[in-house]
Amino acid sequence: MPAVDYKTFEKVLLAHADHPDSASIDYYIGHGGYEGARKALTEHDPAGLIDLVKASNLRGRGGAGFPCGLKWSFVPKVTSKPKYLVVNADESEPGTFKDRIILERDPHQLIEGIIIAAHAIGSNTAYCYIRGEFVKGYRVMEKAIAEAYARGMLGDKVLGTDFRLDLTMHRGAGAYICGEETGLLSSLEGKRGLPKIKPPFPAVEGLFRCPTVVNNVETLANLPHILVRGTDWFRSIGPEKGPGPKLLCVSGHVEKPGTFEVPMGINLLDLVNDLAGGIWKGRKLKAIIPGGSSAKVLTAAECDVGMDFDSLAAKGTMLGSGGVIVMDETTDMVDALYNILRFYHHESCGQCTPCREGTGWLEKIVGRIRDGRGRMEDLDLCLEICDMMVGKTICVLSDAAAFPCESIIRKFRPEFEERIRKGSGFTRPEPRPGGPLVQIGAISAHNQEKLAEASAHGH
Amino acid sequence: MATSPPSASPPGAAAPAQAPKLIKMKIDGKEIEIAPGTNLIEAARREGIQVPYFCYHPGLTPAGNCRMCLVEASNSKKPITACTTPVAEGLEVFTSTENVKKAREGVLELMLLNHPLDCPICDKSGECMLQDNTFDHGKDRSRMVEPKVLKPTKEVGNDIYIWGNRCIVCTRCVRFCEEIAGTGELCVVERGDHSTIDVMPEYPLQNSLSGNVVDICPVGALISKEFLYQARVWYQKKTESICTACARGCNIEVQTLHNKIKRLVPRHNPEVNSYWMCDHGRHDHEYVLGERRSLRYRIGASGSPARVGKLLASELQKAPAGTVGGIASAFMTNEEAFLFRRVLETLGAPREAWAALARPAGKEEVFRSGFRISADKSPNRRGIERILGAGVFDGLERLRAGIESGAIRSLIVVSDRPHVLFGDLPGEKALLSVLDRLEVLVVFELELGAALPGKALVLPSTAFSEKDGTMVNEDGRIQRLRPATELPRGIRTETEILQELLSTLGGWDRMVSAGGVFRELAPELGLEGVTYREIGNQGVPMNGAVTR
Repeated sequence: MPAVDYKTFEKVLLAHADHPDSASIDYYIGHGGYEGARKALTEHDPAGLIDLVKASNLRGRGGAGFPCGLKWSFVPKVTSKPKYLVVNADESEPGTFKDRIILERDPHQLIEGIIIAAHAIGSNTAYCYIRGEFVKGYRVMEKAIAEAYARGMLGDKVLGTDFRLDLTMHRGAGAYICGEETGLLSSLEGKRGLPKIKPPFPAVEGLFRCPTVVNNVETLANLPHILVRGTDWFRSIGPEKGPGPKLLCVSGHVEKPGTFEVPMGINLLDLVNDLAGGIWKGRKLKAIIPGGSSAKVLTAAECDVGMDFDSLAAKGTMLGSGGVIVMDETTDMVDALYNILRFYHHESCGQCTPCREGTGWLEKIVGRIRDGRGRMEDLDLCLEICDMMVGKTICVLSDAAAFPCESIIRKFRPEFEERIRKGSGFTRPEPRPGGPLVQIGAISAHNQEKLAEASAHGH
Repeated sequence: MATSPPSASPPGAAAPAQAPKLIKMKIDGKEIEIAPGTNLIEAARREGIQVPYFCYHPGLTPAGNCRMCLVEASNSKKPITACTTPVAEGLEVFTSTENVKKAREGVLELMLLNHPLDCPICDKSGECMLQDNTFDHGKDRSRMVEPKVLKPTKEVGNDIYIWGNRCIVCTRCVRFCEEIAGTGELCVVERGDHSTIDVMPEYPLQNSLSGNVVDICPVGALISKEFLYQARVWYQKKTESICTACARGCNIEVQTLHNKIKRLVPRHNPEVNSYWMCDHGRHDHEYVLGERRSLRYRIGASGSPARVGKLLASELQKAPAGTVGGIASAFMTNEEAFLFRRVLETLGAPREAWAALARPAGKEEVFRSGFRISADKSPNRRGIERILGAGVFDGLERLRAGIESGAIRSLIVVSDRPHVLFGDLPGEKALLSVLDRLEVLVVFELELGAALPGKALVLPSTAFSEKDGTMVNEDGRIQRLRPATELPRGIRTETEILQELLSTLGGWDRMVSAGGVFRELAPELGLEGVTYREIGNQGVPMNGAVTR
């Protein structure tokens, strides 16, 4: 398979994101915008469109990686109920900030993708659920939607055809669980954002018990390009079974954190050491979480892997949302795990027993270890709790909490054991006089002493 | 008694018109055939396999949040919840593999994690699903050494309290208020392990079915103030009976301790009350041993309760035949009413002098699920009408006129309703003015306070929890009451006294139990050959009955 070289890869999704006018419809149309939607509406019927997207092998970019065309095909062709397209813009996976860029800088690309998807599933009503904290994204989208209605890209006769499409923004109110598709639908209906039992799946019974497709922002942003440049082109970018351009968010201990558009399959080490400038301050790599905090951690030795769904799955982790969190040698893995568990405990909706109680318990135990009051039996206890939480709940938040816990404890066990043995090994660094406390990562015991020495010498 | 199989569809869903084709599948290796739409918990139950659960309730839509009913199935790599999964052709389900057992243990350990060790002070102890499931499927100790999450205890309305610490957030109470009562007062607030049950400000729990949430709570989180700390459930005596607060005739269980009624709870009867009862009926028992209860025989110095039947016979025969009148009550059992009629017939009481008392009509309440509280607040109007005649409840004025004119010189009254006889209703009050004209007045009264003439013979009547007999509800269903409390010493039942009276008059040959009386009266109810055994604890429809 001819690999697309990331060094020469021309941006697709972020091609115009750096231009100051990228959000305006004039700029967008002037650069070939809405051509994909026009082709979708005039050259393809819904069934043909679904086959096209199936043929492209586009897989969902929200975290699950489910084949997009296949999900569309589950929507019943004949039904008396209205069908809904829902855009999941509730980007909340820790380490992920890619949808934000599309929402804030290239909203029309998303709107065009929405038109294509809605036509494919036969929906005339689309909702975009955007996380409440994305105030700028919300305002940009509202403006773009108004522009689209004014120019006939939305409304009764989209692009002059008989296709009708209404798109409405809906803001969330700060819950990670509302990024889970059925939790999102519950919230959109005005209820508490509690996930629902599947089956039935949303394609059959979703929003207001009508057939619904929930797609991620980045997934939809790929559609105009697939329509215009074809499935052969799309399939040539990266591995055939999961191709396409991919937005990867690199955060943590790197020189140049940010969002990078790369071909699927780029080597993780190339991404971190080349594109993201390598580990900062001349330090060494310790660990990377490759797919948002729900993905299992990779030790430094395991990071020679292609960033695509199947390669990472084979390595025992996942591409997930593409949130790459890089940790250097000074990272206290105990504190890092505690930080992650605190998030899941806070965000658990509380519906089902294993997640509701398990997330709280894990946070308490790892918190105790972190504070120096751990016991040796706590480590196996945590692994057992993770076992109780995986595969037994209504949604996968429980699994998402258990994966990092199980993998970090397993792969960095000596560090945890040393912490337990030594008792207190962590003290919060004193705030530097005259400045805010900048806490990037916890400081390991070894470097604590160095810090203490340094401040003793009046730095 | 044929009952329709519980199904996974919401309550109230229409049953298919013809028998649907049965589904073939396997549970624990055994081939079974089962109606489509049945969930796996019910399917397993039919085969004698108990799948444990908390949040599932056959009368509510399944929620699938407790995760206790997880089973392994051939159509899924992960375990699935049995309560939310309907039977499917060719499906293979495994309810007791190692994985299932481990899953149950895990769920229980996590459920008990923040649960307080309140068993010694918790009302639910002894009938607690968490206790029972932990005993069967869980471990005996916790491994958490950190402090537990604490949640508030507060009243949510109608003297019902939520003890937040004990709540396992199964949402049975939330679903009940939403689906059955239709009022939706209870909701989950907060999120994660701080989730607890609460009500919105200014919308407390207020519906007339609120007491049911305490019954269905699997743990001791929802507590009724009435029952708080009143009795340990395993010391109580439990008797199946019928509620007498209205003509619905909800099937109940009377729970007593040391002969005092501590609690009334509903029994399942799909033809009458599903799994529920209303609050009016639930609290309708304080009068049984209340202060106003009439407990003394006022039958003259020479009279004795042991021979009161004979005394009544001699008194009632003093006046010429045909001058006796009778007032029955819609609170009498069919057996009592039957004996009462025989007495009147034997004494030649004219039909115009037969009357009956009922509780004044009240408010009908219909709830979202279809549960109905009847406007007719008397439990056996239909039985009395069938046995004593249709117009008997309108006979008071006619009777009063008869007494006033002198045509009626003796009167026998059975009043076993908790009220002051001749006190509250205009129809009854009017009779007070003519009572002095009677030569003989015999009154069975439940509560004191009636302004009776001094020469009246007054006997205590029995309350519903002391009766053995049957009543007919508004749908025409015959249902059995059983004695749950013992009569105060020396008090005899109407059934016994009336039989003694009848046999002295010559109209009855031997003393029998209530069941024996029923055998005599069954043909009149269109139930030739039916005995208490056939009536069972679910009742049978009377001939020509309306079933809903």
